[in-house]
Amino acid sequence: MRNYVLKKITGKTFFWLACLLAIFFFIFPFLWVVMMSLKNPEAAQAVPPKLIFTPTFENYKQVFNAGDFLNAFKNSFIVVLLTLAANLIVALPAAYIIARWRQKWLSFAILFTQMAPWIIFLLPWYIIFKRLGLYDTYIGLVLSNLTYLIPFTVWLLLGFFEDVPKEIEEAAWLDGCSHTGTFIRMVIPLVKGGIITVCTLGFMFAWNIFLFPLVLSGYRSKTLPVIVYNFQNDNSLDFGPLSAAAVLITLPVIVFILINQKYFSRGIALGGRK
Amino acid sequence: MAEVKIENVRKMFGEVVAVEGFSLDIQDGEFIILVGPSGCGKTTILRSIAGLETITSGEIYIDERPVSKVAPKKRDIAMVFQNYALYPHMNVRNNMAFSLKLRRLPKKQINEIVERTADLLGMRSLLDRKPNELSGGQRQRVALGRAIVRDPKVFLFDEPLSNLDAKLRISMRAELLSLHQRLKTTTIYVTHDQLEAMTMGDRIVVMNNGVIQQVDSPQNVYDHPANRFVAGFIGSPAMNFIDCKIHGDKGQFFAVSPGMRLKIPEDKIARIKDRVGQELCLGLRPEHVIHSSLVDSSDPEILFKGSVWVIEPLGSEKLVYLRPENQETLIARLDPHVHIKLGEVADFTVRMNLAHMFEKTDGRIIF
Repeated sequence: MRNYVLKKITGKTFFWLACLLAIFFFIFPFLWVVMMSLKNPEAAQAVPPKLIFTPTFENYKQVFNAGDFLNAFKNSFIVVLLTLAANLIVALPAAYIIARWRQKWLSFAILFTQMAPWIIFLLPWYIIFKRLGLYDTYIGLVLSNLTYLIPFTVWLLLGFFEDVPKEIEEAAWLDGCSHTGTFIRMVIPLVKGGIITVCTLGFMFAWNIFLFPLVLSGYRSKTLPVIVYNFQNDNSLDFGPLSAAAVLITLPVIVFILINQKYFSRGIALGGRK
Repeated sequence: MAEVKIENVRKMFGEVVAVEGFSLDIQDGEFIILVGPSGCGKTTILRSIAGLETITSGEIYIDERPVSKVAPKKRDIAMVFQNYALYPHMNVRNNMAFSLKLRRLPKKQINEIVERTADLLGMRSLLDRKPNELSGGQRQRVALGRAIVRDPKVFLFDEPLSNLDAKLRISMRAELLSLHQRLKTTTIYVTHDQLEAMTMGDRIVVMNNGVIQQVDSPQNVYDHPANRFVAGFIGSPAMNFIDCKIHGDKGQFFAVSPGMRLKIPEDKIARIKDRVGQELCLGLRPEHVIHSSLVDSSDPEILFKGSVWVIEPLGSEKLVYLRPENQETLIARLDPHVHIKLGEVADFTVRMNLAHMFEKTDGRIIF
């Protein structure tokens, strides 16, 4: 009996130690960046690194004073919101129709576009967007994001739509609802978890995407990741402001995920089921 | 309330014929049961009436108006689904009010109708609950309430009790019947449960392989089945079928089979006298096979011996599985107090005046 209790306690202790280690492993880089963002230039460059230091918000002030940052913040928000809205407008009906017509191969066909490396699209896009007047515009950035986001969203939402019983739609038709009305009033609320999941993933994707805006945005539509890139140049690496900018960029994503955490983890599990 | 007329309906799914030549006139206020084994086409017909399936040919009329090209929402029918199909994100009140809201009725009137219906079904206290907070029986009631509030011309039920436990099924069956007696709405009810079919319908439509086998009152279907399929499908335990040959002897006729020589009653002879030497199929309901101790004088010409190999005491009756010599098993429904032992070889007699004779080839009835 005593042996059993001892074994149980030891097992639990190891389990929690392993959990803490794993959490530390993943969270350490972010903690490090947060610490760097609060250090003055001297402390930031110190070797070995200083763990005890007087925190300062100078780096954050410097980031906010750099004229581009707030503008980029606004650009990022607009591009992300437009991307998420357009993504849902296209992907929701597409996934619903594929699910109802049981043409799963279509979703895999759409996913094919995701299998090509992103870089091969960039030059053609640059030329096409320039000609169409979409270079350095929100629409251009949104379109480039959608190319990758829509196939993934359709694929992820399929499982959710397949889980909605057909009889619920039929009951709504008999109750007097149109097909579109049924889709909006019955089906959409039932795949809420899926929508939140794809929005969270879409937010993370569109917020952090660097390569497309680097090539397709100019002065007017620069987004946050591109601006952060500007904090470093060929001659120096300004760790403090760079870290502060990185923290500021990450915060909205963390908040978004924390709010939707409940649906997000369940959504990932459900979406991957079928 | 409405009359429903189904005229020569055919429904195909690809190359598969699900329903063929289905014609039926349903009277105003009638309770019709569609019954048959799985895949016989009964649900397809129901869904075609609802407009959820497009029929390949034929026509469906609701109050003399052809509806085969009319959208489901314009047919003024309500359907209760097998799995209830309640709207999971709405509470009971909103589930019931949904159709009324779509009709843009005033809020006050909607509330009145919903609450009156909830009272009728005894579920006023459930109005603010979500479907996942209800038991199977309560969900069934909500589905019913959702159909009733619309005051439709026709109710369609697709095996609505099949997900309930046996006890609840019996009480819901009675409730549905009493509801129909109060509302008098034309009702079409699909089931594969013959007990529901027998107890609930004004008329039963027995289907097999997409084709109507018989349409009649439950008692007539039981007493006078149109063919061997109906005879075997309706009734529990099922009718016993015995392959036999017709023998004629000095103006008397017998159904002869190994271990049995059963005299055919005088009133049936006219239908059998030309069939001497032919192989036919004798149909005996379990209650028409009787232990000889239960009859005063057993006519030796309708007597046979059978060994008892299973006894199922059901309280109100006793089902006895017996094997006449070289025969398939027969089931007899006996009085629960009859003394009979496992393994015993006993004398049994048959009510030949209530027996049926079928063609062996296509199952058509002879008498």
